[in-house]
Amino acid sequence: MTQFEEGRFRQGLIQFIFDRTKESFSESDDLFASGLINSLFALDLIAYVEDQADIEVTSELLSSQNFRTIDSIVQMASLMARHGGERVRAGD
Amino acid sequence: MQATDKYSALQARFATSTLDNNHPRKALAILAEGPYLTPAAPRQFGGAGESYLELASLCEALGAVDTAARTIVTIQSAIAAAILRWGTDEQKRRYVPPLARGDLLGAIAFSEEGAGSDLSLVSSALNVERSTLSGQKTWVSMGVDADLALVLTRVEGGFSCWLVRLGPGVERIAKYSDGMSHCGLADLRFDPSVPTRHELLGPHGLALATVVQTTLDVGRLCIAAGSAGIVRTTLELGVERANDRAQGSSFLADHQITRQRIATIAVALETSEALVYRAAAAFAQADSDHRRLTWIAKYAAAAAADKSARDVADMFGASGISSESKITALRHDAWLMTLIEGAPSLSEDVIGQMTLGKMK
Repeated sequence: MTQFEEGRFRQGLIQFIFDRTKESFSESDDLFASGLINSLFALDLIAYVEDQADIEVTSELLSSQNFRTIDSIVQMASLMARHGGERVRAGD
Repeated sequence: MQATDKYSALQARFATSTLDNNHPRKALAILAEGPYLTPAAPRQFGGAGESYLELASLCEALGAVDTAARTIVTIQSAIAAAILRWGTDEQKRRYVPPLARGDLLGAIAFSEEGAGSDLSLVSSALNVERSTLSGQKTWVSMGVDADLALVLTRVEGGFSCWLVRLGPGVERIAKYSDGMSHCGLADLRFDPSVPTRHELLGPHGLALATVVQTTLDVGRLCIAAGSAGIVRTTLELGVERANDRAQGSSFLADHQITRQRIATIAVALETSEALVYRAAAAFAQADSDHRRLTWIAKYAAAAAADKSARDVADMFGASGISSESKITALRHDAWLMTLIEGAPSLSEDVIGQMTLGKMK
């Protein structure tokens, strides 16, 4: 993805989560409370976000509220993608 | 991929070493002479900047001659990978170079008596205010000798991993198993009244989905490669035995049943290696399927090692059931390879789940 497109990223993310979990989450559902993040699937989700938004998800990013909901993931990715076209590191 | 050629000089060092209680430290010293402890770590952190294919190749070569040496590379590389992926810049600088040099021998302390296959049952805990750990970790490879352990504990709302200096507050209780018998296996018992030196690694509360996965993924690849190495050695021993052992005027190799047995081991070696290097290549390319492929490689290579070691032991008759014999040690190691990081039934369940998810 040369340029980050928020709408496309959001749609892709929703589809990815549905494909892998067979569960429909609303964009404000707490993914942590669902147990989704604390499972084998979590690393795949992180890898997906890193790949699609061209960012590196560090512990710092993950510890905060960034991965709590689909909305917050999109917001984080969007913010980081705007910070620079290159792969940006959290906390830098 | 001929693991044996590039590492033949290194293998020779282990083939001649005598196994005793000092073996882990001696093996560490030999490995520390070259870029062997964390080959896949970047050069700036003391690694060799090699790919996971090279790590697999090294582990296959070491697995063929010395399970303890293969285990040390596994632990150092897995902990380094977890720190490089989830640690702070300061943690990368502070821990990875000493792991690469062998100044710090690591240990992975996840399992407990009541939490093996299912780590979400872990009950060890860290009292943050008093800086003390409680609980007991079991079957920790290198636990007798390690300087630093990656310890998984329960925390409020999840699980966290800690880099713990093994010193005051941690009692080592040596354990014995016929498999991996020179890998310094031990339980680590934490004394809740003595503070330990420790620091958090990775996101607090989310260790099971992050640090633990990274550590076990790398560990599983190394075990798969080491198992392929065991298959290679059983094949060599089997061929040697088939050509040397004579009854009257005929050799074992003259019998069709012997040739059939050798053939199945030769096929097992080729398939194990193919699966291991396919998984390693997926790792190297950050392919999203790498975890499933690694489970498959480990499941198949360990089963192949187990079966090959049993088949070749048969060819040695009673002399193959001696504690002095090489094939007996390989049998025990191979059996253990089928059990660690996912026993066969658990592996099947995980591979099945992942495949159902992938193929949807």
